[in-house]
Amino acid sequence: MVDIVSAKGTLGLQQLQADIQGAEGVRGVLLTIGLTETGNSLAFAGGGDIPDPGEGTTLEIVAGHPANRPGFTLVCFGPIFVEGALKPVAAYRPK
Amino acid sequence: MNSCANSRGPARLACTLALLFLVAGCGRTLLFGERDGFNFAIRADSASQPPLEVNFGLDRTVGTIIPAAAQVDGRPVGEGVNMFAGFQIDRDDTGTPTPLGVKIRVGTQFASGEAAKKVAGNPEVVNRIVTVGDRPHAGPTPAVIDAEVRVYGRALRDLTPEQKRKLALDLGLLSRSETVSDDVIAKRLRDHLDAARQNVDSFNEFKQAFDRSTRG
Repeated sequence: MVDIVSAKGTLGLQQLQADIQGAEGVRGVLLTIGLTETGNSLAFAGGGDIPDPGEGTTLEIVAGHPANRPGFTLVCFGPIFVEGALKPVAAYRPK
Repeated sequence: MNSCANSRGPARLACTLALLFLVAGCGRTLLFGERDGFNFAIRADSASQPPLEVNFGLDRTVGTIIPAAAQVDGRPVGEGVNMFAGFQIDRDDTGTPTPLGVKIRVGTQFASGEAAKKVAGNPEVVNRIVTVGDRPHAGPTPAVIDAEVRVYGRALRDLTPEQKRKLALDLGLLSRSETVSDDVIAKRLRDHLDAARQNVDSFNEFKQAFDRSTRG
């Protein structure tokens, strides 16, 4: 079962990342990030793998298609709300 | 500009509903329409205290066309279909505070007909329908409990369905008369722990309930 959690669109990138990593500790890994009218909608693998501390999903603002990062899996990428504006963001998870 | 739009609103809504009624072919179709308008009045007087006053007002119009429950010889028989509806107004933080620097959102949810009848005896579901914005909110975990939250997150995931049901009952997330699937119970427990882990005291309360419920 996929768990959907909302996150304010006014959050900074580090705050949003902290919220995602916190939720992963209960709901399992992040699957994707969607948009609502003014915020973000986070989808987690409800009841799935729970990463260890420091092994959670990290966010990064990118230009164009995100690069492959050795040792990481690209979870998703696209425009999401960061500090109230749509910005292109990639989400990575350690392999 | 806002007030001008408001004066045309009811007529526009009525026209829209009439058009929808025609499109629906006069069948047994429930139509639901709404229009929301905001008015604001500004009073500025440097000699008064406070020197600037801004008053906001919401003008909300809801219209429905509800068919009768049945027809006999072309005449309506019985009461109209059932409907629950709720709305919520949210004010968003738009950054630097200014008298007009606000963003207002109006959300509406409703259930009608068979859906409304089926949930009528379940206050929790009705409450969810009439409470807009019920989705859980993300938040950070305090660093001092982060590792322990993950321990309990895994332990919660690995409980048997019977243990999850018992824990949900103990936490008041489930009533004894309720018939819901194991997945729904597991989701309620995750939602509960996800909210609790954002506060050390709430998390400690969850731990105690978890340990008590799963002991033995």
